[in-house]
Amino acid sequence: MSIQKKEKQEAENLECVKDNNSLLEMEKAIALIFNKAVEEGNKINGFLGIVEDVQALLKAIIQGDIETAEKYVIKFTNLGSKDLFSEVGKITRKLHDSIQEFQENISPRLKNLPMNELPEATDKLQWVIEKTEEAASRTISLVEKHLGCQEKTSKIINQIEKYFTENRIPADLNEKDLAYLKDVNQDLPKDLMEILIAQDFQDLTGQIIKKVIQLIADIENQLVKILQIFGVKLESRPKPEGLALSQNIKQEHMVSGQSEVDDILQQFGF
Amino acid sequence: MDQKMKILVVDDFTTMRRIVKNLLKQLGYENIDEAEDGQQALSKLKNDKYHFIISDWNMPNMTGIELLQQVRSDLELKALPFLMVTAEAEKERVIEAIKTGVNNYIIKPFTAEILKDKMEKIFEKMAGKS
Repeated sequence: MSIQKKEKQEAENLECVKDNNSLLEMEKAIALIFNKAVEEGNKINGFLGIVEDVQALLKAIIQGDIETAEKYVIKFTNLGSKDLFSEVGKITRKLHDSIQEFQENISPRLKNLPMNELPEATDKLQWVIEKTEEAASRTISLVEKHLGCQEKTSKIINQIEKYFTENRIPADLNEKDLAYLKDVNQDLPKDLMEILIAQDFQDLTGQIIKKVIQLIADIENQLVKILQIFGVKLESRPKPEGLALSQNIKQEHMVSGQSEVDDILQQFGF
Repeated sequence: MDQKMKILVVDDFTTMRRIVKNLLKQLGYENIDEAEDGQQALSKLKNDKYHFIISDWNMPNMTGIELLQQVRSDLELKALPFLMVTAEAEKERVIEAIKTGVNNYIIKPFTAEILKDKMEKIFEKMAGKS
């Protein structure tokens, strides 16, 4: 008997057991399994074996041999889950490896980033702002002080000049003026030194800014690694040299300084 | 130019305001007031008589260019000389400021010499116009 005929006959026999709900369920399961088998069969060598098993299962159902059918169903279920599990297993493995690689490569640093390093960097930059402001304020205060002093000393000098040219002591020149000149003279080197020392922020802030720049470069590298490990395809384009490229792009639109601004102003009739 | 003129210096950094203020004092201007952003500047401008504005561009609340727009669209204030002093060095920015009606443009960092030169240019131009 040819397979077609055999199946036709078996299909007719199937009518007898149609009422059985569990069989209907099985039928559905078999259809699923069959699909799965075909799908897997393309890849797996045991395709023919599966087909044979499916036929046997169908036969058992048709003949009302529930016991045999159940065995096949269990077999298929196991087969299905095995594949499913092996797929899930593969994915899990891959994920595990990725995470492992990720941890080995970047994790120690990355773990610290949000918790420590970034807030630290923010604090550091905040410190830079404070430090520079403090230095600027100290410097400006001293400059203001001496600009004020200079105004007064100029007046005193004028008076002294009068003393020499007119050979008389001007009424409003007295010993207090001399004391003032002495004071200012004494303060000047001290204040100049303080202005000088106030510039020490440059060194300290420079170092901190360098560290923050390094941190940003590290973050960039690590983000690229994350993208690579987790398979996000990066657009292939010439790799920018860190921050330098964006700076170059910016500079194209930048005027080099006041003279170029003046050129633009001139074009507009200024 | 009138040394008694009242100048409003607008910058969100105290340091910068102090520097500009001192430079102006060196140039002989004594009557100087400060504002820390465009908004504060605008309310000062509306409540008091000023003769000159020196403003930064980047500031919170209201930027220098927004302040300039407000000044130019205000009937009372629109003729006020406005000098932009900013680190904004893009050509587009300079042109934007010019189109909005700035009287001159200085890039930070700048020298006392540049400030003097630009202020004089503004006065010359204004004298020529009137």
